[in-house]
Amino acid sequence: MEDHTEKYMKELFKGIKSDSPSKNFTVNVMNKIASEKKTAAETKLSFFNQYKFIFIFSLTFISIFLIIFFSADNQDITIFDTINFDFNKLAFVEKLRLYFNSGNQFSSIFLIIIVSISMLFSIDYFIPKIRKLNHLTI
Amino acid sequence: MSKKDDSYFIEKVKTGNSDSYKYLVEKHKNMIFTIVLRIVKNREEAEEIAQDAFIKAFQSINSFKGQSKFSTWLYKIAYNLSVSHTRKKKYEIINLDENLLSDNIIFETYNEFSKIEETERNKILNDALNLLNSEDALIISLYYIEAYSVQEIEEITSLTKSNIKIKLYRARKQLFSILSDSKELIFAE
Repeated sequence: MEDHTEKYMKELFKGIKSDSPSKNFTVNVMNKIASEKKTAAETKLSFFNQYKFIFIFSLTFISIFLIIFFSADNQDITIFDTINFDFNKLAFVEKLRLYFNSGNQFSSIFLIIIVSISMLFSIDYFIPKIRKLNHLTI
Repeated sequence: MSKKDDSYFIEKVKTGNSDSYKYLVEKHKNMIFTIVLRIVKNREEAEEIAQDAFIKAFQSINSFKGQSKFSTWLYKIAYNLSVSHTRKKKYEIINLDENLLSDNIIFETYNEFSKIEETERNKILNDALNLLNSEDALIISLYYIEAYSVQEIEEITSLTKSNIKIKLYRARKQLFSILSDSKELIFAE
């Protein structure tokens, strides 16, 4: 009889279709996928946005330090003397005289690049806000 | 759209063409929805979970290596999501007694239901399946509607072959029991 039950089941289910979801099911899935992709891209961008100013300020600080370091008239100061904080040898910092040796040129160019990048970021940051303000006043 | 198989669209999705995924959703949505519905037994929840299954499959499509059919891989995702959903909600399982059915009742039931028009029978059988235990309803759907083999059902549900066969046997009897009970109501109309 079991064989018959199996046969009856197959007969009853012949032509039976599976249930179907709502008409806009596919559209909803594709919209969710699109918004997930957008959120993932925004998260990546927001991570950079969050740290970009810290990154720029750090690089600016490093480039200023390099300018001061390479422009020292006392050329026999080594990096180890600086780390030792020997005040006699660090007196050059007070004078801040610039000597255009190769190291100084490199750090100056580096500073100019960093400042330019930070200016572009600042413009990018402030322009939408200014536009928004203008829009509100209109 | 020409008749291209799933692997063509899967490769396109893997290379960043997410629009190709639309074809895969369109092709498998009914069965995914049915699998989820058999387990959660609520259309609104089933629709949500089925959508989540497609999104999860999209996100992990790079891990699909083609060792099994794409549909089997997709059904497994939908099955796991539905099972974890029902665990949270703790659905009450109704135990039906299938042992009371005699061979004659099974034959009579089959005889009467086989005469019904296909659309009407489709509705009655889907309603009857919703009264079965989630796992039994799913196994019946995969085996009789989707024509999946016991081996493929094993891949989706992680149940053993012998367990699937036992469940199929029990579910068949239970389904006939439900149909036999509803017979008076349906044919009295």
